[in-house]
Amino acid sequence: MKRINPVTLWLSVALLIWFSALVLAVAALVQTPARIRFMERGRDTIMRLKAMQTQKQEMEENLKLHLKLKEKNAVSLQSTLQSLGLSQQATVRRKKTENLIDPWVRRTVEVIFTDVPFDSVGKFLYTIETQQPPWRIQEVIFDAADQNGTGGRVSLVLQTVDAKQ
Amino acid sequence: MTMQATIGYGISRDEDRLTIVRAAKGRSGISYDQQWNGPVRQESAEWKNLIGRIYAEVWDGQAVTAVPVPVDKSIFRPLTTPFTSKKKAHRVLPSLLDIQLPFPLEEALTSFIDVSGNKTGPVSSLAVCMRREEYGTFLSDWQELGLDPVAVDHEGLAWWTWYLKKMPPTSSESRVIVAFGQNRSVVMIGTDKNLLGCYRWNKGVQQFSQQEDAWRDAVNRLQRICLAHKKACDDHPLHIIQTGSAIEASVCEAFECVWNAEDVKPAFSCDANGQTALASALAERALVSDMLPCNLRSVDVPHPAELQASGRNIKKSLVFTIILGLLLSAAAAGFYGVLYFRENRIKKHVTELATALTSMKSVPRGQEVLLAERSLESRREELRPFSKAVNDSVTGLLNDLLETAQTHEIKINRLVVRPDGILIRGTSPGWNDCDVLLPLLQKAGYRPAAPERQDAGMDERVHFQLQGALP
Repeated sequence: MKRINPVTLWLSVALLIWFSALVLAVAALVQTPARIRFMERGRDTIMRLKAMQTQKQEMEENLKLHLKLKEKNAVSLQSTLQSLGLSQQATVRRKKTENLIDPWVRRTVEVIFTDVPFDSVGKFLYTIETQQPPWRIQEVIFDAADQNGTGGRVSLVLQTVDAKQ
Repeated sequence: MTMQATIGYGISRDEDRLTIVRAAKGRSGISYDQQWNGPVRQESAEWKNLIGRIYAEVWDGQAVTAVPVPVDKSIFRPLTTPFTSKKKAHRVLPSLLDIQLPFPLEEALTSFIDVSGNKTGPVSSLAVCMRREEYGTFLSDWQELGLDPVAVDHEGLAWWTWYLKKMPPTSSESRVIVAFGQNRSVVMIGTDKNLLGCYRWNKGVQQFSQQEDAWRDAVNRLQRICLAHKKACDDHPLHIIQTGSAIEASVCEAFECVWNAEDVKPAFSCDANGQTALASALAERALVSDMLPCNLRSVDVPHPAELQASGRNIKKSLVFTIILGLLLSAAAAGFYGVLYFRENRIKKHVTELATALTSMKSVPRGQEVLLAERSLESRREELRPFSKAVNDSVTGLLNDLLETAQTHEIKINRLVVRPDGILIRGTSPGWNDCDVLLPLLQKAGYRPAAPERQDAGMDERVHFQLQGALP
């Protein structure tokens, strides 16, 4: 059997290594721009997803606030009116109830005051908005009955999100 | 010379006297050290030690031994080709030399030394040639002494380049170097830096001291040599350098004395320490490549140590190449790996975020943002009532409006707040008083229209109406 010259053997090894090195280097160089573009797009995607995540967290915070409430049901409007001595001037009418994420519902109620001092309505609104869960004004119409504008007819549409009763 | 030697051993011989000089290349230049100067005593331990030490260095690739081919056993010819291209010139040089040889070129070992440098114009070369038969005898003579030379240099070139370096010509001159030996002398002639010819006399210092007319013959011979190079000698002042293995101050004096009787009076230089000059020149020439290098041994079969060094150099180069290749591979693979790792990290992060946002087990690649947006939109719809229930309140606006109205004596007759807009109708004492309410509407996010006003009537108040819509 013919013996291989060591120099030829080493030369072949060197050539093989250089060829592999060149292939690797060229492959790395050729692919680099595409990979860099991919990474830039990826970073952009991450930023957009992170922004969405922040938005979602903020939204979830509101739900968490409701979940943390000690009292899950909003204060009764009738009893509040009674406590403020306004039950005679006010009519409370339930408009609609929408189901939200279980067990929550959104209730919409209309309260109409006839010939009432506006200050009293202000107190009423302050009371129901500062309770937990709060009532929120959806719509309000003040119609002054006198020239001074201190009292008259008030129509309120109120909403609250509380647990199913 | 393929050997990357740092030590050169120059070996010269005059009759039975051998001179060995060791030249070592260092940071501060080349240093010379005489190793032997006297008759060869092959059986002596001192000689054996020296040869053993020299050849240990030679086989180790550190040293090169160089011996001179005598002028009388070789042919030296300066050649000028008609070509300016070196490639073309090198093709015709053998033919130009062949016609000047008394024997076929194929029977000789030939070395062509390029002397054109970077000059433009016809290519010039110095040819050194020796018959193979004579070369064989010459080499075996040295080998019998236990000295197998790695380099076989030319005596004339060695003398010439040595004195070019040691006594560089200060101005244009014709230079003659006379190297006196015991029984033979050699003469090198040239102009400036160009060696034109090498000659040998059969007389040395012994003959000159014994024969009365020997000096006169020497001068005559030298004059004939000058005549042979008439143009060079006539155009430039003559400078004669006296040296050689048998040089002494008295030899120089005697030679100059005979010359002084002649019409032509050249400048003389006497190198009274020139006994080891040839060996030193050979040693240095073995180490450097800018002194008209010549090695007839490499033309024939190179010294085994040189072959071994050549093999060693090839191996070193291969190992270096392999290491470089491996480094390049590692660098490329590393770079590739870093890219791959970063890309994967980004992919993983995108998938994690998208999965968290969509609550899906796996999100199809490329659809992450779209699916996340859809999921977020759907969740937003579900959670919007909770957000509104906590954040949206018009009570603050109502309070601000009523307080401001009271402060500015504005009377509000009708106030309507709906999810899509606001309407305020009332009266104010002045024409512009109702304008104070506009910033409050803007602050609450409404886009107020221009106030509608009516001139004061019976009540002496301005009636106005403000409207604002949510964008």
